[in-house]
Amino acid sequence: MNTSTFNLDHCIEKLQKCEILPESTIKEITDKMKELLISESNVQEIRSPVTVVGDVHGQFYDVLEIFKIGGQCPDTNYLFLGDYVDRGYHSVETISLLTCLKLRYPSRITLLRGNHESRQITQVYGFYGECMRKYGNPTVWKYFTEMFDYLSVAAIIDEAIYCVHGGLSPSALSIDQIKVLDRFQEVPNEGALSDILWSDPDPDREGFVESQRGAGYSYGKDVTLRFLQNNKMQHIIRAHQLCMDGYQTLFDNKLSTVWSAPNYCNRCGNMASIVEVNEKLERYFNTYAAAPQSLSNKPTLDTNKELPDYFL
Amino acid sequence: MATTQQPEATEHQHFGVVEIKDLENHKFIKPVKVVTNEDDIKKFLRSGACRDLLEYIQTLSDKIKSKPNSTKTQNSNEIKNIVSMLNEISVYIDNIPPLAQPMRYGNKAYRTFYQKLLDNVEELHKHLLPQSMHSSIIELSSYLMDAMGNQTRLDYGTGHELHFVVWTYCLRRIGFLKSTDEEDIVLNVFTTYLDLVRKLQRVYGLEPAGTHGVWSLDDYQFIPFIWGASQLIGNPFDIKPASVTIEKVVDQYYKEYLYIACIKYINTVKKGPFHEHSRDLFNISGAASWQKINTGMMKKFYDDVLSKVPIIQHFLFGSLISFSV
Repeated sequence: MNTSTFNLDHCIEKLQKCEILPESTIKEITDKMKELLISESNVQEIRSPVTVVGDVHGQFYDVLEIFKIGGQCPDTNYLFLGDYVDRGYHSVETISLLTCLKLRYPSRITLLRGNHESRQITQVYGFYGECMRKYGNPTVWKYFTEMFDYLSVAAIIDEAIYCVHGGLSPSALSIDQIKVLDRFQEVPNEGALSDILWSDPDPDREGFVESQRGAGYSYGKDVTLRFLQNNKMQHIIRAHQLCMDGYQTLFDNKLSTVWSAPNYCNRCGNMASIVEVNEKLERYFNTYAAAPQSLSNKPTLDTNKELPDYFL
Repeated sequence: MATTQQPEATEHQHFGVVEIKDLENHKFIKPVKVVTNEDDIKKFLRSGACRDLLEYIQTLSDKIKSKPNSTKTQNSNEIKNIVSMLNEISVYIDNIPPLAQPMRYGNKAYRTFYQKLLDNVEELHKHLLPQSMHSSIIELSSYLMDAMGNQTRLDYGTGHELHFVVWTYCLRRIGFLKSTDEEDIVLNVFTTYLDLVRKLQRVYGLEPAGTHGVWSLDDYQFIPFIWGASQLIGNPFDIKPASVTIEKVVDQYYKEYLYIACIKYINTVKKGPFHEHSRDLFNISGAASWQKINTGMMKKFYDDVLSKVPIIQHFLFGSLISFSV
């Protein structure tokens, strides 16, 4: 067993106990990750069987629950659709664990980029602040956000199921166009790279309509079916939207949304799901609720008050 | 060179809301979105619009300092009519129950509610305002509609709340509300609005728009924490910042204080210990005084709401609160 693998196993073990890695180790793993990701295509070709995971947003104990329900890595192949960070308590631990698993089992786990894997968004929605709290400086945030620029933006399962965080773009209606995008950059405010991370399906309208999110588009059934037909795809699996039941299928069962953060923000009361895609390309939604604290061995957050600077 | 820290100001100099002098000839316009990027935000933060908005929020904060909700106020006819109008909107919700069908998140019956309000918003304003102020409805309607959330995304957040504050600011600008109404804007109008939007959130399951999750004060609101902290300055019940973590105190005083009402509401919708589900509020409860919390909340509001592209990109600018890039 080489040193690198041994270190990774040690890191994974530590992270599974929800302990953060030292800053120097984060530097090492993000550098290695960039070396690995640079060779991956914008659109990753992957084989079934595979389990597809939607947004997890720093809900670390629910990520551990995913591995209990879906099977541990590398026994199960995984495809994560992005939004690993922001909003939950444990974005640092979540992205650290997934990065280490990717390095340890590169052919068994694929990580795509979500709209939250960006500098601008993580400075607003929690990951930046969490890195500052846990490390006392923004260096770890910098390492991870640089790594985010290397993540692939889409995946295709068995040349039949197109997987992406958000969806379609009017600027890239063919997968070949997505394959030639320059992905090694901060998520721009507009254009194809932005759209595929930000867009949402809308059963109530046709075509592409500018999204109310402030980035991306709402896309209708017509353009979705046309995209599938033109690209010889059977189905789209995407994430990016909270679903009460953990998933939703639209457009005559041609598009699925998967959401993997149960009881989102501690208040939404939603279920979560992962999508198990078998060799026949059948999709099974495995739903689950938030892991009970007693079952997840979740340590109680300490009750010491860390007064934010605003209130000193 | 070392600088000595200035003592914290407890009173602010107020310049007051500048009322439109000549309403008849004032050109009201439909408010539009202007901000799209970080450069726009920097300009906005230096603008008169931002300064006036902060000044208005601060003025209201100071007006209700040490005053619980039950404070005897002027409660003018204008205030009563606004409260009555908001209660009328609340009845729409009762008449439009959520649809019993599987949903993504956010019940589509909310769109029916929103459309009903849209169909009636002009009439509601005509009923509220004297004829001489009807030309302002084009602006007021936009702010009130957006204060109810987003009908496309079925969500609600701090940006929508901000538009309600702007709606009341516009009513001050056109002279419908006076400086003597400012206590009531918080203690009667805003409290009624809070009840209304919480009802919307509950009944239609609106998604929290752009929430910071566990790193936010609350997934939907911000302003009541500023004004609520001001109410608690020098309160006669010896309610200290740390008291908000004590269930008995919360149950006893939530009807009197906005801040405590927020805590009470959060405790009903979130599971588990307070220090886990509301870490930020728990940490803030370690502050030395309500004055520190009030001042800190204003700074935090500036940073977390007014300075953020994802929120201010949706902010509407018209003639009453104007800004252009």
